Amino acid sequence: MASARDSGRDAIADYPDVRYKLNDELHELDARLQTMVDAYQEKPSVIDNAILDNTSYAVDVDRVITEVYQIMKTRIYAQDSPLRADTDVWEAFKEQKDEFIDFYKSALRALETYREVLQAYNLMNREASPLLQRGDLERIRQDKRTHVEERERCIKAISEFHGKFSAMLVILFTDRIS
Amino acid sequence: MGYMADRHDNVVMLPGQRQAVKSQLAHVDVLRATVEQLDELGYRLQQLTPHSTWPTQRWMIASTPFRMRLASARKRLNDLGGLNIIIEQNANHWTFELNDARLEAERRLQDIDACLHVLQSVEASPSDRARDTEIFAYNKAKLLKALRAIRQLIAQRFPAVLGDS
Repeated sequence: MASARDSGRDAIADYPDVRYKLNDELHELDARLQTMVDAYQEKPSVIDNAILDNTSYAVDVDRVITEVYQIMKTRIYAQDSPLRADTDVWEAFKEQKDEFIDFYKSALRALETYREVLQAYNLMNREASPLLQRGDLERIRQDKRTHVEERERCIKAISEFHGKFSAMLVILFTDRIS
Repeated sequence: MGYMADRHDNVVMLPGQRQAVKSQLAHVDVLRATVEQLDELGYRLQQLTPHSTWPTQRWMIASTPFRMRLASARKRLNDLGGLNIIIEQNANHWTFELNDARLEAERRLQDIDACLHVLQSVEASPSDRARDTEIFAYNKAKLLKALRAIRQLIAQRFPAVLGDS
């Protein structure tokens, strides 16, 4: 039967593997978010599909953001986090925790707000009378402006969340794992 | 006889000398770790090239890699302070110089920390923001200079520290 000391030794021996695996998973999420942000910045309306479309074709940005939060919660900031073995790295991550959560909450809030605005905007467009009247153009302009501004806010919040996450990973990818 | 004297190549080492060599090697390890950490901190700081129009969030994000190195860099500077006292009794001038460079780096770290705190938490007028960004750039240059001085002083007396870095 393996003793506690043996399992401790195993954990230390496995440490580089665990860290490399974690680094790979974080890197993959970082790359996925980067691709999304790039697509939204190139053509902002792309995010509309991701938010409204429930087909597997559309990438669910909400889900990826939550996945990032989950991996940070369960792997980085967990009791058995492999980062705890490296005091410098662990302390550095601990100090960033509140800031990271703030960026996460901002991204979720912006997504939730934009989803509502987008749904309402689409609904109004569908129900609008086909016969336009004088003064309608001004109203359409106002509605469109609100829609576009909210979309910009949403993309900005997602982009900032990704920026924060990505910046936090720099220390992991530049530190030697021993 | 192991406990009385030891041979290193053709040199017979007395217990006292052996102890001195061991502690010198331990110092080299501490110095190597210090140089590595300070180099990384300096590199992250160099990468931080702000603009006076940056909003608070941008500062928070851009300064993250640098800020994540701050605590460990402070620890290494502190270790350096401890080493200064014991490193070499007959290297007074060098020790004073290293101590001065270390204190300067610690001061500049504090200044930069304070600057960053303002820039990433206070929404100020464009002119105040421009002034704060200038202060940051000034402290950045001063800190990089202090880090370079530490590196040079260590390399001067312990070239082996930079040997395989």
